[in-house]
Amino acid sequence: MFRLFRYLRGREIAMFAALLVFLVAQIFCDVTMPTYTAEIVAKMQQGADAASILLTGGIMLAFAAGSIAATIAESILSARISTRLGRRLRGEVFAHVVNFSDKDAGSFSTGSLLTRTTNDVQQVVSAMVLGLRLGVGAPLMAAMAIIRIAQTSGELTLVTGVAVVILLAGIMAILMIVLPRFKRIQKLTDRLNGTMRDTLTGIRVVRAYNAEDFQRGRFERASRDFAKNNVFTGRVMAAMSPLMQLVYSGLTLAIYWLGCFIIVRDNDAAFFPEMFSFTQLAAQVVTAFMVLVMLFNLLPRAQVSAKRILEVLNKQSDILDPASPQMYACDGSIVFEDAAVGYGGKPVLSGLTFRVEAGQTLAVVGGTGVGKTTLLKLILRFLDAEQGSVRIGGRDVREITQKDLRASLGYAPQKSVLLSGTIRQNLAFADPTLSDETLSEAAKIACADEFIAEKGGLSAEVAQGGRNFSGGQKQRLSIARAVAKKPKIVLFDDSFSALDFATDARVRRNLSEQLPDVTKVIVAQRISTVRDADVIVVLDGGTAVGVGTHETLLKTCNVYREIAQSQLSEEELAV
Amino acid sequence: MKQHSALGKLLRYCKRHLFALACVLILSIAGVFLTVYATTYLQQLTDYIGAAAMKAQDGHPMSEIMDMAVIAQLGFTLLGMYLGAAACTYVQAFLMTGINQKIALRLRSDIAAKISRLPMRYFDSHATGDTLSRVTNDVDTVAQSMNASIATALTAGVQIVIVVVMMFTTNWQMTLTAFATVPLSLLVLFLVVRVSQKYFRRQQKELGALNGNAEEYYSALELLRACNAEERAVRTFEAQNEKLRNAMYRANVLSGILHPLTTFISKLGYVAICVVGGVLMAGGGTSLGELAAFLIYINLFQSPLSQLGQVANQFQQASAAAGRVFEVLEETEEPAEKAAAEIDLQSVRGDVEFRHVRFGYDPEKPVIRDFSAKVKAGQKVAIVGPTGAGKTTLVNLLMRFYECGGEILIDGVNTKEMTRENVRELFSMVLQDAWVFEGTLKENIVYCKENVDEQKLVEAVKAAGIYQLVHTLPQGGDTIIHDEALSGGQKQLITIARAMVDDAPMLILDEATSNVDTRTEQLIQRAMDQLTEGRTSFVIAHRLSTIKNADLILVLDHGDIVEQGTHEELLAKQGFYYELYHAQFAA
Repeated sequence: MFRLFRYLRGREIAMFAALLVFLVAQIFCDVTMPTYTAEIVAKMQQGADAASILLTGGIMLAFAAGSIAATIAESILSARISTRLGRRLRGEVFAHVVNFSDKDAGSFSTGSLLTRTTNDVQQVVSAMVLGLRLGVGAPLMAAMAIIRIAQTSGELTLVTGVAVVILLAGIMAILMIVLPRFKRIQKLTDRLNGTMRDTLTGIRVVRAYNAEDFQRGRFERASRDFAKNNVFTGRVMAAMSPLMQLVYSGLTLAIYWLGCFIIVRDNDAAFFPEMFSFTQLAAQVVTAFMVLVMLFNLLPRAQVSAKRILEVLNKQSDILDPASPQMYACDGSIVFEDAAVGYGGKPVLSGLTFRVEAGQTLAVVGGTGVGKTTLLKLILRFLDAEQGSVRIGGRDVREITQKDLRASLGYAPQKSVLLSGTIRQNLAFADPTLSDETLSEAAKIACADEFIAEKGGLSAEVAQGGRNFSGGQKQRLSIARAVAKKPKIVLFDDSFSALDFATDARVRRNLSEQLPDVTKVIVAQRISTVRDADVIVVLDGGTAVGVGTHETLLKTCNVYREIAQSQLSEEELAV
Repeated sequence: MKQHSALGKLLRYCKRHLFALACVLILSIAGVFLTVYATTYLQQLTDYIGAAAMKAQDGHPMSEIMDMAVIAQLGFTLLGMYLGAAACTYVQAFLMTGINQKIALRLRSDIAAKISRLPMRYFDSHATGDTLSRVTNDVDTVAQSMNASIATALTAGVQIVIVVVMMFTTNWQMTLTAFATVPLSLLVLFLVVRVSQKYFRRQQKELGALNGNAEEYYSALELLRACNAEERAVRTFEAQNEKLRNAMYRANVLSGILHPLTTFISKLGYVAICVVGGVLMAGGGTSLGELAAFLIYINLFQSPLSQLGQVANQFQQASAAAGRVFEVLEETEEPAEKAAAEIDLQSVRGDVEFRHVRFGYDPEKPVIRDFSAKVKAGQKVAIVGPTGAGKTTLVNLLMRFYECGGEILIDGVNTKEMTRENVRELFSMVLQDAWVFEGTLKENIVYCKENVDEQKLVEAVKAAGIYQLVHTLPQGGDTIIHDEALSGGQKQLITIARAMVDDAPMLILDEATSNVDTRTEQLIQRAMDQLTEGRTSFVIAHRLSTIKNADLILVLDHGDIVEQGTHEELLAKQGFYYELYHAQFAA
């Protein structure tokens, strides 16, 4: 957690120093006040007049005001520091995430990234600020109060010490029993949530199989285990508050009792008013230790959060821009020379060699999980080839900046993502300066113009996640977005799957007619989608088992022929 | 109004814990009473010492004036009372924890049961995340804070009453002095809570906005990279981040001021009592012991007041959560049904007839207009048509996920006269979105089917083509699987195996192979053909090639059957199907 301190800036450190000054002032006031209580009692005992008592009361109130003013200043400062630090950490986490390499992004779920960005940062920041404030304040308070007691009576100091030891031992014992169970809470919560999420996401299947009771049974079991654990921890933790109360009251009583012994022993009636101030000082000592314990309770949780944040912040992308990037004028060609790529030492794809010229169409086919998307990622340089080379637009991708490379590419990912906003914002996502005319043209190519008009034109709202569009509509918007920026090369990762065959065919015809100079890369399952491509790459078993046109592949490539046969009739194959 | 009703409903859940709750109440009153009453003994002790100290001024030695036996007696009495109070507090908290968790458990059970009875429409119109958070977070909040806040409010109320009574019986002048500061502290509390609530709400709003913002970008990381939009995203995020910082700062400062302010006011009261007490004492109107007791009473009076302030806050959150929980519990359920007819699973033939079926999710917008078709037992029926033609809706109606106009008959029996359970047990279903739950692979395949023998299981696994997968998993069939760990194709194969084990007399395949690559699809197709053999089956498919051998093809467009017949017949017609079929090969 302490590694996150380096995100504090000079101003915050200065504010922190100021906070400490106020803290010392506040504690001084707090510890001094009981002295005046003793004085008031003494004055009463002597039957002093109201004005005199009022004077002492006034001084005491002044200290109280001082303490309160200092506390308010501390609150304002710590709010400043914590919100600034929180903002910075959130910003850092976010910036890191959006600059994640493909590999890093795959190792976190969206939900977990979100938690890290908001909850975890909040946990850490409040623990840091509270920890610094109380971690310094509580021991200081205890020390100053003990010194005051010790100045008058060693015996009462000892009693206070004993009370603190009893309190700490009790709290420790409670925490020791409860801590292992606390760790289980997270797991049990996950299980509870998991079973319910399963039921909800699979409700159709649950209903179809009449499995309502089966699902309920699973949930009930998780729910009971969860409750059992909670009852246990709750009951043990319930001892905390009576214990503190008991120690607190017991200490007051002990001071009175022992005080009487001292009065009798020393024959010193003047010790009586002092007892009053001691009960208050002792209370301050006990409170200080309780605060410390609470702090230690808070730390492990913050520690976990800090670790999760650092996991994000420590990721360094392994895809780097070259030190002296080459000028890049994309000529639309794609050349793979014996390229190979793997995840964690395990090769996923190797032996990729093919070449596509500007304006041609490259199609990639193969079964699920053979690495079709991986091939596209090599072109986009989301991944780097471990062997061989990938040359896009006439340059090795490692010789130019990622920005230049990607500016020349249009990409429709497998999952058509829309962002909330307007259709215009979505289509112009790669370049907000695109004119409405250009966007409309792109929409037309993607056959998206009709439903865009139905929804109310380019200014129509897009809900979060594009919920107000069907799968096919989202895909067409995604295609339009890829072509709107007028790229030299456009990549479609299974972008036609949700379109019916007629629309699929129309979009492809538009692409070849309207964008004759643009190189098209298409990943698809349907043979009909890829049969007219200039180059078809067939992937199987981690390598390209065939490169060629539909006709040649039918003759030379077994895998391709099998795929084709599964989809096309004999007469169609004969064409 | 809504909050009160949520509270009322929650109280109903407390009914069966009435005895335990009564114990809690008695114990908390006893605990408070002991704590407060102990002060009078402390007062006696103080007075005793004070009087002794006064006498000592005459020069008597303290040892003669002060009888340690008296002090010991008072001391032990006090110790006993403190121990008693602690015991009462603990037992009360012990019982309350049990009650809380039992109520939470029952709320969760009730919701789970409710979910079994809610109509499909509910799930199609409510976000999963929302329902989920009601079942878990909201129920937890209710259990933790609702009862805790009620208990605290009760205890605090009791404590205030007892303390006030004790104060008046001790000394009415000082009591009035103490009360003088109450309106002031209430005013401050009220003002700050009102203002800070506004800022806390703003903070929650901005946090929500930031979360939404980040979530959207996090789920579109690839796109951001491909569009060189990383910096723009950071700029948008930072703008929202700054808004959040601002709102948080204000909320924090305000809540940071509240506590010291109330402390100051209580100190003010403290000093006022000292002064008034001092004056009274000079006139013999009070004793030192009374004053000492009073200083304790003020604390005992003020701490429940500030507790009440916190509780009010907690209570609001909790009742909002309870409101959300009860919203689910009060959703309209699927109407209860009584079976007028039943089809026996063993003797069902599998004739299906649709008679003038009409349906729309929104009555204004019909999806199915007038659908009639006859399917003979054992036929393989394909339903084709462009996206949005109503194919999946037809399945929804057949399974009675939704109720339609017109009639659907199985073996001549109107499905509306059967129980939904009866209808559904006649079908096995494989859907486009393959669903697996967190559990072992075996559990996922066997699912809720009882008495599945090993032989049948192995056959299904082999037929679905996941025999290989089972053996590559670390613990074979007993490996825990979950959604993220498997590919779409693998999940689909598991659901197909599940359907095979289920072995129902009829079959529905809704785009079942769309997530599977074409070679695997061939394998599945073969298995499917085996499965559909002799069973009435309904197949929805994008790839028309897969349904060429169907006995009957129903071509849907805009909720109407536009054509029906076999593949050859429909091609010969050169109509809508012909166009659809050829579109997939067009360049």
